[in-house]
Amino acid sequence: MDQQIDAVRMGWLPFYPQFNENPIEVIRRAEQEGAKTEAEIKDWVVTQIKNRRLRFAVEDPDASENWPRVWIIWRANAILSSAKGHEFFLKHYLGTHDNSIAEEVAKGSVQEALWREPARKGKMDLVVDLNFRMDTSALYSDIVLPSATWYEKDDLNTTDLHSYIHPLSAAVPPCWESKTDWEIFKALAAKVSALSPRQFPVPFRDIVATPLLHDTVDDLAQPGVKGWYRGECEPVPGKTMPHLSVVERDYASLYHKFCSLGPRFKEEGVEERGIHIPIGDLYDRFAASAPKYEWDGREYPSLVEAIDAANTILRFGPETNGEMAYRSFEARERETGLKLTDLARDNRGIHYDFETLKAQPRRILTNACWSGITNGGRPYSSYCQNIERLVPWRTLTGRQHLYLDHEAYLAFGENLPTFKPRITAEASLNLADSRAEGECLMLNCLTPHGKWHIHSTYSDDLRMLTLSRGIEPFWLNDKDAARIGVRDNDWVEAYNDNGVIVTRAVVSARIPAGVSLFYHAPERSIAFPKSPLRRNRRGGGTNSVTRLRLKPVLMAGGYGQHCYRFNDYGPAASDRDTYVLVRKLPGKPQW
Amino acid sequence: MSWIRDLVDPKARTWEAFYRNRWQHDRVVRSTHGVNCTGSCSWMIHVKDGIVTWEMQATDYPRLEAGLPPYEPRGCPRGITFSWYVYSPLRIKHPLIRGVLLDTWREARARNADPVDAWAEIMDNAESRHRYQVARGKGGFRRTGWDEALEIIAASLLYTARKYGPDRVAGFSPIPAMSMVSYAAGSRFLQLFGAAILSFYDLYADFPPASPETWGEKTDVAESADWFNSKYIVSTGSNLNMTRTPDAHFAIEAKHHGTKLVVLSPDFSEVSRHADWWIPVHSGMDAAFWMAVDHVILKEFHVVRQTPYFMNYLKQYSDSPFLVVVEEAGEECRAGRFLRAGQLSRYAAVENGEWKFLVFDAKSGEPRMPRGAIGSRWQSSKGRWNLELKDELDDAEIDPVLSLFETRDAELAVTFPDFGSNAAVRRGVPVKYIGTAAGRLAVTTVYDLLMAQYGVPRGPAGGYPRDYDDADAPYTPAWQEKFTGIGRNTVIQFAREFAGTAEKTGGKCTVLVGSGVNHWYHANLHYRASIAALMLCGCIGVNGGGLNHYTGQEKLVPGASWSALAMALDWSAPPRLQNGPSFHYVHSDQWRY
Repeated sequence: MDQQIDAVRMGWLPFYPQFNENPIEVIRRAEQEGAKTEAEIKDWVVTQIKNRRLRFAVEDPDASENWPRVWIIWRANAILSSAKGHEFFLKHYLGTHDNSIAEEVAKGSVQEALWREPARKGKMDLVVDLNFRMDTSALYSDIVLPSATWYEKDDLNTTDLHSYIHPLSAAVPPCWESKTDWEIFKALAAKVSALSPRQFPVPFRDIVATPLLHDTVDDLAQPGVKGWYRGECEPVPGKTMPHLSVVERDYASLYHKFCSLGPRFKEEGVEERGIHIPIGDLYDRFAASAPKYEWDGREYPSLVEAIDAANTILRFGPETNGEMAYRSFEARERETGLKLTDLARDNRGIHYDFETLKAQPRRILTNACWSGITNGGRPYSSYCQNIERLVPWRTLTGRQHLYLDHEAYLAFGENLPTFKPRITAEASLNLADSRAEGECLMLNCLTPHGKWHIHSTYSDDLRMLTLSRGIEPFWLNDKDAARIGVRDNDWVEAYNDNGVIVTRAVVSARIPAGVSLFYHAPERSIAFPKSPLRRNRRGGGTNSVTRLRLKPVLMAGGYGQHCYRFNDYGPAASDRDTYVLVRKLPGKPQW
Repeated sequence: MSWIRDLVDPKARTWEAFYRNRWQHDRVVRSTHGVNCTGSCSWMIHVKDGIVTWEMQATDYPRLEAGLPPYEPRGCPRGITFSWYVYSPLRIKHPLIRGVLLDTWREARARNADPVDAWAEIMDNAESRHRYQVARGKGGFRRTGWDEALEIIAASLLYTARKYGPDRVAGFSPIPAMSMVSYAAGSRFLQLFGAAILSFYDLYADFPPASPETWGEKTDVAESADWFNSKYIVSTGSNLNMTRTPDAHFAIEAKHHGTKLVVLSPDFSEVSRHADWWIPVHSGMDAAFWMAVDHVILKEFHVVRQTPYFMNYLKQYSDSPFLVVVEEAGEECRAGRFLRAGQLSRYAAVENGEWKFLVFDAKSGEPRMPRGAIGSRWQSSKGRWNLELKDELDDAEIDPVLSLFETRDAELAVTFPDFGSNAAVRRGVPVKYIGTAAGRLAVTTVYDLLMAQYGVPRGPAGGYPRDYDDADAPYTPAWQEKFTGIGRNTVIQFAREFAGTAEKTGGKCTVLVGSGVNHWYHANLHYRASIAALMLCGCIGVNGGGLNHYTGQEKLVPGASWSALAMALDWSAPPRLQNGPSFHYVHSDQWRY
């Protein structure tokens, strides 16, 4: 936790909420004290932070002003199959019952976060889920909005495993009262705009803190690790601490903005992996023929329909518009001094729109935002541009790195490739407060991807349930099973400090001794009997026995390839170093 | 009573009408399943009288180059059941709200003209807030209308922004690639509002940190058709036949074409069944196996016999020749940081000299600063950021020296931590002394450090393993046995086959890896150890090679235009983007346990 807090202070990782104060109020206070321009406001905020009159929220996460309050979930199963440490979500986010028995142990060992007693339960005021099926996240949400299925909407789909782009399209309109995600958020935007005049009568400014980002000049921000909060350097936004930006918001026009392609698009062009592609003339041509949306006396390309959004994405994507691909190589040529545009010359006239893709899937075009070369039907393989055309990797030396010399890697002994054994059961703290009950076995609990479902989807599908055992079973080795008197299809209870699973066993010699497999991920709507060990509360799913543990070295930032990028960098969660005790369920399962 | 007619007159085959009716349709529309299976299969949806009746695999993918098997048909038994959901009892048909909250809301709303005030009233009353919170997950949903549902949500959003700030609102949706417009709908709304969006790739433990560590890139991998180009496929932590259903055929077709398929997996999984060679490495111990493989490759293909393809590859495309300072602190020597070009008088005046690095050049016999460093990318004069082996200062050709062993000034005993036995080893490393702004420094190359780290002896220096059978010395084939349960001879044979194939084919060996390895706490180290094997054999950046990590539908195309739209960058910037693991670790109070 201390490293997490340091990582936020130094700008290595983002963290929201940002401060222990409303960012809108921060600006209001700055203005009251005479700061007017963006630069003056930023200076004022830096001084406040330096003097500790304004604190990062991460330093005091249990203070009520620092909780996240509203959680909107869509296209997701955020509360069970995606929730590492599911039972802690139930307790601290939702404030409902949970099956964790873990004792808090961080008091005293964590220095940088304020310790508040007791830990807060029920931080979330409102949890909203957009869903087409009643999955576990929907079951736990306050409001469930019916969304369209994949056969009821227009959308785009791509993957790592093939090089085509192809659509989802509406075979039938959304059934019953369901709406597409695009329509739902548009309607919510309209509602927010309609209700906002009393709360936010005029546009306001919001101060936004963001971390040091990869593929920007932030790659050169921190040659060494220095903490301004330890007096080792001055707090400088974008250098030794997070960037600060002032952003204007206007909730009254939020709906109009949602529905129209704004002016910054033309001015800024588009960017990926540090490649900026100017689009001015292409934009003008597009705007002339695209559907229009007019508000406040100005005309914009329309984003009212999902298909408008899809066509905008396709028109300005270097993978779907040959002219954009060509320009991406022009941008890369300016950076590298290499000749590269020949890779896109032959595709320059190609452009896919939504109707093209509905007719037939299309291959993505070779471009500088990716590293493969797919011309002439060649299969995509990564880093071919680096090898064949001498484009550098986006690392310190520009080469592939076997050696990592960030100070954190030196400190953790990970500068060279090395081996660290898996975390032991003791070190995992999974079983610190759990006791063996009768004939019991400790197993490493692995949660791989299963055969009868994709994550949790299809696990509740009648057709798949008919083909499989109709339940998500717990796999263990035959000799292990014999030791605790478990036969195939018996009910078992697998538990640790985090939570408990009650299900049937599959006994099989294909599983090695000492290991169990519980495939990711069941739903609470199918076969979750009660757990005698947890006062007959209902058992949980895959993530009931997991807990988040962050590896500090992966928080390193502000240094070459060790820079943050959303979804692309940072401490990844892990779930395999998980241990459970398993016993045969006493008596019959209770429902 | 049609079955009686079938008995009386079987030739009429009236029972067939049932099937004809079942598969009737009047419309066929293309769609797919946004489920993050990574298959991204195109499906044809059949509709009769406005009802979805069934789906079938599309078979019109454009062909790739001649000689490759086709992609089609794609699709799996899970996907083909999807139409069940559309009209299933699980389908959410109307806006729903938990009864406790609905009653509380309606009472508060009746007392307040402004919905935001109504929400404030509920929030200000700890008891009313607790009442609906504790009911979460316990059923009790009631049907409501769109207008009421959206009003509550909008009121809560505005209340939160006014009282606490818009950054107290969080949104979560994963894997935009599976339906990127739908993702963009929510993210666009939330960014215009000022809310934070939570990441998923790292939260799912699917993001491989070794990828940015090695390549500065989140994930960039081959499409499955390229497996066919591989001559040696190692599948590890990836159960191809079970979880890559529409793609697995390329691995099987490659096998029929002469490729060897080796599977590392602790259990006898579906892909183990198809393997030419199944190596049941103990779970979570993969790096020990690969470290020993690397040891054998270095010894046999880099020291005993110097494989030209491998050496040239490392010189141009890896950091192996770059100079690292050996820090002498008392008795101890440790590998330190890269030597910065700016520390040398020759390069003292270059822009971003602290961010440019040095190799030892065989031509001039001096340290030289090749192009391509990150300092060249972000300097004012552009056009020098490339991998040409030229001195950025005067464009002179550079021939980087991989090892200083032959020309060393001295040999220092450097300490390397050994986490397998919670100890350390000291091994001799060749160094040269270089005069810098910080005084005389001992430097070595990354390549020399690798030799020492892996314990590959090249001379009389101390601390090295005797031979492959030295079980106490990391990282020999014998040493790894106690962690992996795999015999030393298996490792040796595997390394020889792997590197031998790479040498003969110009790097056509691939590692297909997935969550079975990536979901471990030390996943980055498991990955780096296998990446090292690929890099030492020149297998990255060639068709049929590479570390191909597949855990989810991470490849969003086109990202540039999509992100502008999805993050509402057409109106304002920067967006609030939050890494999920940190958010949940802190806010769900898991840090306290």
